[in-house]
Amino acid sequence: MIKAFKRYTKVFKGIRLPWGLLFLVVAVSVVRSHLEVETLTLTASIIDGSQGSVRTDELVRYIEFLLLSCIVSVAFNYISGLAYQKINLSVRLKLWNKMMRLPTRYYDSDSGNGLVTRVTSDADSASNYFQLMIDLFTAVYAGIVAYHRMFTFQSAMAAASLLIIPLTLGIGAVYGALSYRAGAECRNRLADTMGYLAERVRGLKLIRSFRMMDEEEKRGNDLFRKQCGADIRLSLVSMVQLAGMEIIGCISIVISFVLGGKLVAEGRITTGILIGFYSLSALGATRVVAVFATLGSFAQNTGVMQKIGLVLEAEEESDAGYEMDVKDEDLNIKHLDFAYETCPVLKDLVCTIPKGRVTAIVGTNGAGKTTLFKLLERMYEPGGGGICFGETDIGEFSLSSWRKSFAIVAQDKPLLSGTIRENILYGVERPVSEEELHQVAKMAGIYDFVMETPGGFDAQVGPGGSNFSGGQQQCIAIARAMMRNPDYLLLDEATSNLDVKSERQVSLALQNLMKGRTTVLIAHNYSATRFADQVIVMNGGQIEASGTPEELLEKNEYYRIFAKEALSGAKAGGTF
Amino acid sequence: MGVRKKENGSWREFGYYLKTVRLPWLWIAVAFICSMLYNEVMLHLPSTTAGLLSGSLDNQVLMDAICFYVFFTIVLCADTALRCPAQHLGVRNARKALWKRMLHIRMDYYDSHDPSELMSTITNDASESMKDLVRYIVAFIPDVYYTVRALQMISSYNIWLMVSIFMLLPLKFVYMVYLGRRKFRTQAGVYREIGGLTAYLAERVRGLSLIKTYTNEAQELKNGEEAAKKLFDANMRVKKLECLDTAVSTMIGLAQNMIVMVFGVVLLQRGAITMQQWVSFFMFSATLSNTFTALIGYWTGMKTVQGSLSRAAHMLMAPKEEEGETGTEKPEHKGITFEEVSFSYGDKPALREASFTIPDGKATAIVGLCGSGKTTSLNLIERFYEAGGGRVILGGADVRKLSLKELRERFGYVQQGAEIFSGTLREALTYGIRRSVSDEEILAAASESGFLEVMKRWERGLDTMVSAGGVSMSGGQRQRLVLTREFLRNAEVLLLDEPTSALDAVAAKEVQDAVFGLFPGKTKVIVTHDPELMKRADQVVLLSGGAVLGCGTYEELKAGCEHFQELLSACEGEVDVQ
Repeated sequence: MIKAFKRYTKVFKGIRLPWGLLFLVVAVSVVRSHLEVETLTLTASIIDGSQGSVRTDELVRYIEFLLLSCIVSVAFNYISGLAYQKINLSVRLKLWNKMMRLPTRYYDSDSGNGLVTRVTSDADSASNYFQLMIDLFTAVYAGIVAYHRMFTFQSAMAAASLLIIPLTLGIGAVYGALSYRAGAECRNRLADTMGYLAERVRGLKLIRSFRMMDEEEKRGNDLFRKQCGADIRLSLVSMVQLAGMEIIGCISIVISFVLGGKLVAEGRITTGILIGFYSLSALGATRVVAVFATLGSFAQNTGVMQKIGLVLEAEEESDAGYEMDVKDEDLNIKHLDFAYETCPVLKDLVCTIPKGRVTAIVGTNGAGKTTLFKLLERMYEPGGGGICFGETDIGEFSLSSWRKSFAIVAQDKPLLSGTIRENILYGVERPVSEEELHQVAKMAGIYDFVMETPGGFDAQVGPGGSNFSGGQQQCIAIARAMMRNPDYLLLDEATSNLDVKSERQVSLALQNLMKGRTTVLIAHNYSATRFADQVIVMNGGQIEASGTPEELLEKNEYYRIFAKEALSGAKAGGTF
Repeated sequence: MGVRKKENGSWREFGYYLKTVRLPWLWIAVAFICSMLYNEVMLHLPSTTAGLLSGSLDNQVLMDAICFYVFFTIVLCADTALRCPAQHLGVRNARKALWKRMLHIRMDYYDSHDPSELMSTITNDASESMKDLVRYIVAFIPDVYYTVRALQMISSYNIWLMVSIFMLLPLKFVYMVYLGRRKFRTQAGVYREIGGLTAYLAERVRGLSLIKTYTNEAQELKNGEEAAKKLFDANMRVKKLECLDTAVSTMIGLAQNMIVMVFGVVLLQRGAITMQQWVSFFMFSATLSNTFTALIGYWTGMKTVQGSLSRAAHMLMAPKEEEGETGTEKPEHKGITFEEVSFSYGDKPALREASFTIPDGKATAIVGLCGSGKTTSLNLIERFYEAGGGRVILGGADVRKLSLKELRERFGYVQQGAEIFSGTLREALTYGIRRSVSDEEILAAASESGFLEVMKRWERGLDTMVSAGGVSMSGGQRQRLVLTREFLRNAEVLLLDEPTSALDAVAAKEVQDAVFGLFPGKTKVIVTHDPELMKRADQVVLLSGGAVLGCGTYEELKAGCEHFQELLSACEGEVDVQ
């Protein structure tokens, strides 16, 4: 439990908490405790009076008290809600802030899964910590106030009622532990079912084709059965709570009425006080059980908080370094090593990317081409060796100014939801005139189809660009790269996965984009490499050969096969 | 049991739902009895407590009271405990029924719905509809019973007491209906904002490298902050409504209390009721208020039940694949013929009177631009869709004259993305194979397909977990895995949907070699964009806009079909280098 508290505390480090509001919540809950006890006392007195005659002033006061309790409890609800929501919001924002600064490597690792959930739903558990504290305080305080009043009523009876406390704590602890376990099982079962269904519903065609319906039905039913069992167990746990509460109720009745009955008979207390006593002793028990319920959810959420803590503790990218206001230089890659986790990808890679030229990289899947791009963009840090701009290590430039001099056109899902205009102007900080936008659109070959689309440049792009064809999406991405007007251009298999017509369109746009820039392109097709000034053949994370296309045709076998595949009529290629 | 529906169709849906989903009647009966018992005991609670409170404190009364409370506790616990199995078992049965239907649902229905929507029906709608339904069945009648009996008792004390209870009821009713609507709307607002935030974040996490490349972090932070603030506002709206509700409900309760008090005290002072009657009436008025709330809740909650129940019923009533009669015709060989086959998705024609033959034991490539009807042809062969006109014939038998089981057993199917379900490698490799397959056999097949090489890198061999938290594979590796599976399944006809798209030239070559090396002499139908695959096929069928424009060998088409030349024309550039 102490560990759990520590985890929570860690998360709140560096967050401005609404202390004023939290203090107010505590204050209001103190007022509420007193009001409750006063109201009950007054009720007792009214009941006493009602046996004779009802006093109007007491009734008026009773109404006043009820109104006041109503106002106080509404205030408590609102203020506490506001405070908790504010805390959740700050944690959410802190997480999002952190996410923007996390290195790419973090997103690739397993810990990158579920980052979205951290922000959307997990952050909602953050306020649990304060809720527990405040509930705990309220329960203890209300208990003290209630017992204090009971002692003023009749000390022998109050002393007897104290016996309820250990019992309540015991029941609360049992309930807390049981509900923690049952709740965890329930959630796991639900996650199993959801994961299973998500995969199978998407892959329904496969199930059909393989005639696996009966087997899948059985497997699904098995999961449903387990989930049902867990649900039932969780409901049974709530029965423990109910039973416990009722037992406490019974005991307090026995204490109140057996002992109290004698006292009433002896004329030492009135019936009203007896009833007041009874209500007061029930009050404490309700509170204690509420604390344990909060404690249960608090314990359940420590896992969630731990996950949030891990994200917040992760190392950030640093933006320190020189500005990129230097002359264009060659990129020298010097003995570059890189590994994902333990799997080496680049091994002692040495090559030069000359300024103002087109360099094409070819190689099998997994040769390390895309990884090299990521390192050039400084999405990852090299494991060994380095990349130099002229003679300066690229790590010495500030990250943002380094990245600003690059544009990348990647192979998949290049668009974000929003309008076409927003997509083209993405990341552009200067104001852009309508003419310039149209000019760029024409160069990228998107002007015509954008104008035909209802809404023109303000037409919405669906999630993942779904309402445009692959070729159109890539051309929009090319327009975006043009708008950025970078010194360096990285093209990653930009024409793969397109049909013949779109491929041509994309190739034309790319030719416009590449004019006068240092370009590195990962090539799928022989045709794309033919006009490169330099071709690099990568294999197993190393340079197998490099040179002009003609040279390589003579001396490198992989490149020969690569060319032959294409020549014999392979995947239709662009014509840069 | 009244789930009232406005449209006629709804009653049918409801009836179908009840017929298809087996309700746990035994547990419902148990829960019903408990609920009745609980309400019965509750009826005696006020008078017993009143007996205690009104001052008669001799031992007999006390013992009776304690016995009563113990009994009350037992009944209360039993009611809570025994009501939940009925609900959860009902949910489970509903899920079972929905999942069963889902597995047999017709493909056009499936394709026209968002998978996450279908999933939410199986998970959420099943549980919502069933929980509510069971609640209505189990608790409605007992609640009505309690109300009637309690009112009877009160009126037996004094008729004016009953009047006092009813005075504020209309106000309460109107308020609850209003509140129900408001609550629904504000809560929907929260869900909307959560959805918006999730969609936004998911997209940004996927497009993270884009944000970083374009150094747009500051702007994205601002966007994220806005989305989070909107969620905060929506949450606060719910909170405010809650507070308003507390205030108003307390006020109504208070007013109710006042009325009850005034009536009670006046009657008490006139001597019309006894002290014990007064106390027990006072307690009744509190519980009755809750019961009224519950009864109004049945009414206001009807709409939500209707919604979830109708969504669930809608899916249960979704069209099923027709198994087709069996035995009337038998395929004599493994060739396939399309006879003037037409098909359209809604108004969008996908195939127009297409006729071609896929010869037995040969490889046929189906080629064409996107949307030319290639994948549709595959879908029609396996009868994922039924042809609109014409016939698809397998070995002389109309595919509609074969049962789905008979038909689909004959086909192996390799999807574009090489779909596999998560699990161990062994499970992925033997998915859909009913005979028992030894590890040796799997490994032998893997070595044939070249997948063994990939596997060697994983320490746990066949027990390696694939996808969802396990190792992930490249496109080429997945394709080889799937081809290994097909090799093990050894179906008569192999259908391949763009097996080499999205692969680089070398991986494409490897997959190609595997396709032709593993399955010599098997009928193969290959939908592809890859000219290399077309070349290796024995026959190429060229589709455009759903019509067959050419059919022949690669060489024949290249020589004689201008549409095919057009398709290949992008390769011109390379030809001159040769």
